[in-house]
Amino acid sequence: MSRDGRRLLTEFVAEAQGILEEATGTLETLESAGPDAPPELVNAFFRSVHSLKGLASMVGLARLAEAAHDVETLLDGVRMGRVPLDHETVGVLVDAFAQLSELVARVVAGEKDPAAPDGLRSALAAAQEPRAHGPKAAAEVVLPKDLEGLLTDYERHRVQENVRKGRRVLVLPLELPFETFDDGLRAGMAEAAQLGELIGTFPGASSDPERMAFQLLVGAPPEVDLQEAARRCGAARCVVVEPETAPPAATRVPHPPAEGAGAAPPELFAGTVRVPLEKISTLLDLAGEAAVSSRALRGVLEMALLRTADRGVRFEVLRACSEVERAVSAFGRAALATRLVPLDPIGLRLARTARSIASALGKEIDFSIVGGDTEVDKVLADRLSDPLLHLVRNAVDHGIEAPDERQAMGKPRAGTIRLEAAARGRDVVVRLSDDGRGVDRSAIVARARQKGLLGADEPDPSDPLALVFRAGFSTASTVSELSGRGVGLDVVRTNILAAKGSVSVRSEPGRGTQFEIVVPLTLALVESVLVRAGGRYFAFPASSVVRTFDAPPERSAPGAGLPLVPLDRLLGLPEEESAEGGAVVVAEEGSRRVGFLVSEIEGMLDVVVKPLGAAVPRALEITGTAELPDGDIAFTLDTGRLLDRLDEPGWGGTWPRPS
Amino acid sequence: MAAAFLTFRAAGERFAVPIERVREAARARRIVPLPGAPSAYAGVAIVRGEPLGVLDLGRVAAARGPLPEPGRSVLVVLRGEARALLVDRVDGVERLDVAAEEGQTGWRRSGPGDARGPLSLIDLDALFAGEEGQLGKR
Repeated sequence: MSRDGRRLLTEFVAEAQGILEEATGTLETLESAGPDAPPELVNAFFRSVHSLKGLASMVGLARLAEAAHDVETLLDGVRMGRVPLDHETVGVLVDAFAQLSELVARVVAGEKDPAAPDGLRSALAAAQEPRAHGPKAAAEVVLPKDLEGLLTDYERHRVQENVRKGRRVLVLPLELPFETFDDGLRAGMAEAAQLGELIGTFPGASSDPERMAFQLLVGAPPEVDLQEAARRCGAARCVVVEPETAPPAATRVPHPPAEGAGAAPPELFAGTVRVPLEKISTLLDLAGEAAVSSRALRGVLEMALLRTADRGVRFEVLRACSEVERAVSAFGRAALATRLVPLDPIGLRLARTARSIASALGKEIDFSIVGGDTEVDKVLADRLSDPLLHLVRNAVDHGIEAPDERQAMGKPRAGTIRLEAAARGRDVVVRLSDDGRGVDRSAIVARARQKGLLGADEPDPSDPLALVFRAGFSTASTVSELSGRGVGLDVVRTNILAAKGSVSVRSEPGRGTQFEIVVPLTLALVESVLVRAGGRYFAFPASSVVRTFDAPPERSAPGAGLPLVPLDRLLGLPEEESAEGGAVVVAEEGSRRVGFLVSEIEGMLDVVVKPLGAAVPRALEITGTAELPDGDIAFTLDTGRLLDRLDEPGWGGTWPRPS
Repeated sequence: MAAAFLTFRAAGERFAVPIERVREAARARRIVPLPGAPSAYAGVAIVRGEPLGVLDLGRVAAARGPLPEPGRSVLVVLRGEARALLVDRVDGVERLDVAAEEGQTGWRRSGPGDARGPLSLIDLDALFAGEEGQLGKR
């Protein structure tokens, strides 16, 4: 297979697994909601399967695409009211879904174009046969003529469904001024959705050329106050659409779906565009450049204006300049926002994993998610997923006690696992807590001594919990299948550090454990400590900098234990003799901590890092460049690699002391 | 066989590279020396927001030719490379008969000279391979 082909397939698997997970969640909710499941749920499930079909055919998995198409056809029947969403249908869907997941698993295992078992297609077809107790035929609704022609089959079906359930179908005409129609429409739609089900939004005819007309079609409960409904949505009036009294002949045979009928009508996808991350990165880069240029422009203008006597001109120029800066900064924030995704999907996946592990272990749990709408950079969300999964597994496996044990301790039989997410300034804080048995500090210390992580004569550490993140530490006395072997919390910590974050743990014996993960909101802008060394600018990621201070006069470390290394010498630059003695940036990674001597600390700055191509030969510690506000260039540093360099011959063992 | 080349000067010599390997010629605003790069690299320049490794052609060529002229300031930005050549000045685009190049090795291959003097065709792959071969020692 070509490299592109492999890459595509890798992307397919990642996407497909995401879709399947999301769809499993929807299916679970559908199952519990039963026949009166809200239409959005069926639509969501339909969309998932539809995306899977598209993806599969894109990478040449024709049989998987075909199987997804068959599932989609059944779901289309459900959305259109041709197939009731009864126990039988849900059962068929659950099975079909398991088989789709199986097909994806086989692709992962290396099969070229695996086929679904023969039974799938016939089971799906059988589920579409008319039932003995089919859905009751509804009275036909006569819609206003100008609306009638605009409705899709699906919307028509929703109208019928509302009538069948004895709800009232309302038409709310809106006339909105051109300049603000989008706000008005959004507000009207939000209110309409509060009334009941917003079936659709359609253009209307306006007599006023300054205004745009819309019609909202709503299914509302029979007791709805029409005047109040019109007032809330900003409509001039509220028209009730009456069903005809005579029921239609019950012989309307559903059309068998034509080829391609499974394709989702475009309105389902309105408002969402899938964009590759590189395109968004380009947007962010441009926003960064625009910010640099606008600051440079201000500098030049301010100089030029010093020579201008006309105060009116000065004022106008600077005002225009401020407007550009405001727009550029808004552009930057908007570009950044496109990278952010809510944490909810991860939370739901964790909840499912937790439940299935708990049921395998005979434990009971309640999993709650707070702040699932908190947004974080897509790249970070992906990187957080594995560490959180690990923590959840640990919590269910080791934290939560068996139901009887809990009851004996006066706790509820079901353990609680809580995932909380919240934005805190430029960071996102994610907490995972359980009300299980907590961590036994003395057992940790004993374990650390046994494993050689603590010397026999070393005193107990003040914070024994921190030991759990050390490599080679594992508390479970029996290595269980669920928690895996040899992979411990040190891996969790490493992954979170790689995402420029930090993790800490608190625990109370008998009461539970809480892990707190803090990651930056985004990786696109890197908060950096800007320094000068060897006549150049360098940027340390702020997350790796512990503190900075003026270099002591003899340029040696204050107190014991902190090695000082001149950054210029480490990078092979001409060494600068700084009269003032320079400054020290204390950086750490993992357990290593070093003070880097630099000639000057310029301050903190958010920078857009542009990676340097692999073809550009350079010191490995330099990851890329960042353009500074004055147009100068700073080199961005990888702290971990800088520290690695110190282990190389020449630096190793004996820390360099400036002569 | 005639093909289009961008011709330029560095260290008093005339050079040419196939036009399809060139993205643009740009004036370098600022070139910052890059730690750990071989001495033939002048540093990094940012062109259209993208950092480029700048190879000082004069410094590479001068090892075997006359000393570089002062005031060199044009970047020949290579297509899809994240690299650029620093040259004295760009002469233009010329159609050259390159049959004579066949069979030659090394990065500098003698091309069709004229009244303005001799012309070397640059084999970019050989040029960079030579430079990066020295990277091991920093």
